[in-house]
Amino acid sequence: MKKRTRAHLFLPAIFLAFAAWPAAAKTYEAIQGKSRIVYHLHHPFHHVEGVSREFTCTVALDDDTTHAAIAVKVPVLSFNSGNSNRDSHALEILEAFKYPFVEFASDSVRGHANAFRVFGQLTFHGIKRPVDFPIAYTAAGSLIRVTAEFVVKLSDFKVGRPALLFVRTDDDLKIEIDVVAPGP
Amino acid sequence: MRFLFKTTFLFAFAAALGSARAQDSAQKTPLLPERLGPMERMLWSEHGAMRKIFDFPLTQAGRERELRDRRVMLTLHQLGGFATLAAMAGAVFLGQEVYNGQRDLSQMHKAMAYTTVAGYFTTASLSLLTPPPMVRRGEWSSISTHKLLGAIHFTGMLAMPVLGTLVRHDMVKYGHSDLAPYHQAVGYATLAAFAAAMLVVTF
Repeated sequence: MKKRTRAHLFLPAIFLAFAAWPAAAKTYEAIQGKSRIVYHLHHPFHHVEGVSREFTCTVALDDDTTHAAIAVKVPVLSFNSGNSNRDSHALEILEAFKYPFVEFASDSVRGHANAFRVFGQLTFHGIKRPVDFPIAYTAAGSLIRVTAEFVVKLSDFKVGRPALLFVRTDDDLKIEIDVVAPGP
Repeated sequence: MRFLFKTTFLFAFAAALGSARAQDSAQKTPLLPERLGPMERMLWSEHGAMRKIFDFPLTQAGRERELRDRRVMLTLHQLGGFATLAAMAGAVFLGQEVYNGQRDLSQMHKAMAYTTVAGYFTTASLSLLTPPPMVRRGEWSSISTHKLLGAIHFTGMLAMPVLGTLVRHDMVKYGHSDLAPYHQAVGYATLAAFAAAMLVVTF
């Protein structure tokens, strides 16, 4: 009976430990709707921009980058280029039934102050490849904002270049990330 | 105490895993878009004719195959569009020559018109019978304009063979036809709508 009482007293301490663990890493969750990921694809006839506002992004960032990490998960179905026929074509090429998400997970974050460089793995079309890109971090009022921009090659991820009227798009796919999250 | 810690940890881990799986499940890619056109609903919906009569099951593997077929059909639709445009332009040009008095070209105009009709309806059917896309939202896009122009040139293509036959009948019987200018105007309008429908896709 005495042992049970002691165990009961330790319970709040265990839960406090769980609560304090992520707090030490200063983890921020992207606000859906305010955050966005945009892809840019160039076709000789026009420029295509697809926007997703429905993705999850967790950012753990501080001046001390030892514990910094970024994880992003985007459903490919959530990208909207303003033309559902074109989006459907993209989903066919990306084999969205087999690979419904694009994911990024950082391995390390290097840098200081408001300029960092993220090194990690991008999983796109079921293929995982290392990528690295600079990110900018700003705090405004009660929100933090993390922006990044990088280019990947469709051929690196075995994604066929979409064609319109038998003319294919460029191989370069520019990705812009704009994450807004509640600040500390 | 160790047991209590383990239990708590496992509970937390399982809850996190369960939450992630629930999220993945909620975001599972739907097999059909929410919006289907009348023809798509008739042929490709859950209880459509293709599901009931032919071997087109509404499964992930089935939809992957349908999307591959869709791409082939739409690529042929584009190819057919170019070929039909060339034939239609040729038919209109020859028709104008016949109208201007070059009667010896009437057989060639007729042959080109038949080629245009065959190419047109084959190309149209490739688009109309295609399986539905993965997503369809309600926005107005270049494809919406393409379809609107499609309604115009489709009407023109229904009228053209009828008008052509009537004009030919009048020409043989009376040596002239009052319908010839209408046939000519509808021909130009159909060609313009058809060319514009192809052009808007590039925007």
